[in-house]
Amino acid sequence: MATYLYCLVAAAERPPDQLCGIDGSPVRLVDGGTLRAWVSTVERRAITPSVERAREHDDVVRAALGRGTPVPARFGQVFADDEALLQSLRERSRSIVSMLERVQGCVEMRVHLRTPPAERSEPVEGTSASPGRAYLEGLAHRERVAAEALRRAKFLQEQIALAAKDLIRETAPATYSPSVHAVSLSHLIAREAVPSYRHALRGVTEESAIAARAVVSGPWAPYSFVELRHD
Amino acid sequence: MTRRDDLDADEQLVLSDMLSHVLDKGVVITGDVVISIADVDLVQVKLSLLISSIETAARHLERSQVRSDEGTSGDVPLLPGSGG
Repeated sequence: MATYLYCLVAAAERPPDQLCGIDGSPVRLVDGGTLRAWVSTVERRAITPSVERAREHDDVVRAALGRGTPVPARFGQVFADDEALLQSLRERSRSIVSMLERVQGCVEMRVHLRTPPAERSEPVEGTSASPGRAYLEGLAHRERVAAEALRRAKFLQEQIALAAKDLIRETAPATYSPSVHAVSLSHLIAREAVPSYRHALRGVTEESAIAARAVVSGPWAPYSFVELRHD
Repeated sequence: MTRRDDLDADEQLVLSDMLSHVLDKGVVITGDVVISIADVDLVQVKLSLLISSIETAARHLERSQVRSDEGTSGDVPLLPGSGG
């Protein structure tokens, strides 16, 4: 048996009764004083990723978000037992406490900008193109699509920064996801600023053809804003 | 694209986004991130997304192994793919 980590929490908030996580395992609080975490007991140290398990992990983090601002853990972190987890947390206590304080009262909002379908299609090759050349040209095309997507995202980021500058506390670097042909922008904002943020973004999307293809998601726990620095 | 296509695309996008954040972001407390690729049950997500996330996990494992070799970590991480 082992201890699976979902998130770190600032207060000694117990998970809701009946909350289950990975493979239906009950979620519980591990309380180390200033260092607390929501965890489950799992059967093995290796966790196979799947859509279902990722959802289960995120569902627990979302439940914690309903009670405060958790620091979400990356999927798949398993410890020998609760004491091993607490020992790892103690070794990084200063950074962890600082991180919890920094994100307290905040949520992550994301804006996704999709590449139009017409731009994603690779150009039709003539029959004279060799397989090697066709492959390289396909790679080049995908790189151009990604570069253009990131350029538009930079424009959108600037528009959002102007419209919502008083609301955004931190901005994470834009990321391009080729599997869904979209660039994602992440912003850390105060929880109570979510309606104002959405209103500001509506203004941006109404004024720009580029922004009109944007999709807003959130609030999320601050996955993009919780990198641990060395103590 | 129809309105239905737009909704499906939005759902795929948000799902993909959730997966990429859960698998590739969030705080890492220990290098002992053990992820096996056996019995993967992915729907509508390209394998490249999973592979890039596993590469990220592998980089953490390598760093943890270095720390273990230097005597700074008490736990020797398992290799990816050694569990189920």
